[in-house]
Parts: sequence; C-alpha cells; structure tokens
Amino acid sequence: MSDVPFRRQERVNLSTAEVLIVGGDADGVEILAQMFAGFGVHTPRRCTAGSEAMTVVGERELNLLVVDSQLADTDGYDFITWLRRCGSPNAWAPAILVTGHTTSSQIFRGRDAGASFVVRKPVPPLVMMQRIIWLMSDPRAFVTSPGYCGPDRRIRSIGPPVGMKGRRHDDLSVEVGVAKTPNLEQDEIDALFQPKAIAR
Amino acid sequence: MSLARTFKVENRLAKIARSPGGKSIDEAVRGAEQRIESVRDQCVSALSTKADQLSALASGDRGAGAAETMEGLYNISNAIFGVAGVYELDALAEAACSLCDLLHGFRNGEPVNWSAVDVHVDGIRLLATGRSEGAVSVLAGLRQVRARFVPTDQ
Repeated sequence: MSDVPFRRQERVNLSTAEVLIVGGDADGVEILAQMFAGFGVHTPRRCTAGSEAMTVVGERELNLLVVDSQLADTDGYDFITWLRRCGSPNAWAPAILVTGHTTSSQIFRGRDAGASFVVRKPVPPLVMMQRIIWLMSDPRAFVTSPGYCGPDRRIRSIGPPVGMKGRRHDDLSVEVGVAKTPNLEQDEIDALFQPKAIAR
Repeated sequence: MSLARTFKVENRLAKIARSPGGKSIDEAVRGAEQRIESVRDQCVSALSTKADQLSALASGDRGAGAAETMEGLYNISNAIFGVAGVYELDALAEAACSLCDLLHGFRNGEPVNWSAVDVHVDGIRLLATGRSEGAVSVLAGLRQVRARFVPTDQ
C-alpha cells in the first residue's frame, strides 16, 4: 500500500455515512462502533452474525463495511466472498477486514476473498482513519472473474515483468522503447496549444 | 478468452466524506479515542468472563470433539487478544496470542499437546483478573512453552 499523505486538519464528514460493523465478539464490535461514532458516523450498524449482516446488505446502501475475521456463525473471509458476489450495489462497497491473531496465510485469504484492506488488531483510530482516507482515493478498478471478485489486487501498476507480454489488453511494459519520430521543439509544442486560423 | 471483467465503480464513501462539514482528522481521531476509553470498564471486566469460558471449554471434549474444542478455544483467545490489545493489557494480549499460535499449529496437523494448552489457559485466567504480580513470571513460562511448539519465525 502506498501511503496517502494527509493533513491532520483535513476535514472528513462521515456523519451520513452508512457503516456496517460485523464481528463475532460483542465487545470487539462495541469498540469498533465507538471508534466510528467518534469519527462522526451517526449510527454505525452492528451485527455479530454473518446471516444478520447479509440481511442488512440486502436492505440498505452501505458506504463502508468493517468485518472481523471471526463471526458468530461463519468467518469474515466467507462473508466478504459472499458480499462480492451478492449482486447488490453493496458488492462494490469498500470492506476492511480486521484480524486478531494473524498469519500470512490469513492475509492472503482476506485479499483473495475481496477485502479492500486487511488490518491487524489492535487497530488504533489513527490507523483506521488512514485506511479510510486511502479508500476515499482508491484508484483501483473492480475485477470480476470466475475465481475472484473484488478490488484489483494489484495496488501498484508497474506493468508486466520485463521481457514478458502482459495478459491484459492495456498492459504496458515498464521498458520504454526508442522514439520513432524526432522530438518536437518547444515552439512546435507551444504551437499545438495556440491554434491559429488557417486561410482556406 | 479471459472471462475476467474490469470496471470502475463510483466511490460513494469519498463523495459523502468530502461533503462540507464534518471533523478534522485530529478531532475525529481524538473523538474515537475518547469513545473507546468510555467503554473500557465494560470491555475489560468482560475479559475475565471470557477467560472463564476458555477454562470451561478447555476441560471439555478432547477426544472425538477435540477439533471443535480447539476451534472454540482459538476463537475465545482471539477475542481476548483483540480487546486486551486495545486497552494496553499487554501481558494478557501476549498470553492470548501465544495460545492462538499454539492452537493454530495444532489445528493444522501438529500433535496436540493439551498440557501446553492448559498452562496457557491458567495463565490467561490469572492475567485476566488484572493482578499484575506474577505477570512477568507467567509470561516467561508461557514463552518457553510456546517456543517448544511454534517455530521462531512466527
């Protein structure tokens, strides 16, 4: 993840944001709900079970989901996989997966489930806010394919590996080839920005 | 032909968050810290209840239902780790994380050592009471137990 610079005096208005917090531990959900209330979210919605959260996803337009890896009836990975394929406009809402005990395999699993971010507990409010700011300017497209639905997992676009042709039609190599035409002089460039009337 | 489709979606979060009003990031973060602090007593007192649940579950089925027992233990110790970390109960958070490490290995095919689990559960129960005396020696003991079962790079 590239860091998004922000000023601490920058304003963020989350008062009308619809935020859904899903987690299996009621105290963990309470802590996250208090955090978002402190951020200014008017009524953060809470669920402890994935089934309950699925109902909320079908009922209202959400702007952000914060999902614990451990839910009362399923796990956060399966819930996010379901979310990305549920067919509701909420399928494209940003989803932050919060994990407790975290192994690298769990991070990959979260990424491959379609989470926008995986954040390890304990999550300080400043870290959560940084993730929100990043999501506000998230440049990633969404990808749907038989094996994956979610935000493009390539955070940085550095093109295909050197010497290989990309798999996508818009992949460009990072290697720049030799120019095929001479460089324009500055006055020729300027002329392009100052079109003149031409006598017919 | 690839069946993958790539497309841009409207960033509704950005649209709302950039509307006039709201709070500065400083104010928002401070507000969140204060709100989290306001539920400290409730969340910290629930930790000893969770530790009791952990203990009750650990004395349950270690035969055919051992996988289920270990999953329950993992979930509760993970929940303890999450809450203890927020309120800087570092010794308790470390003990709970250590139990998660052990159980993660046992659930992935390593032979289960119930004595190692039991000593962690007892340590967590002691630390969850909030008594700080003995915490250093409890943690030192748990670290030794963990080191026997969990590779050092985890």
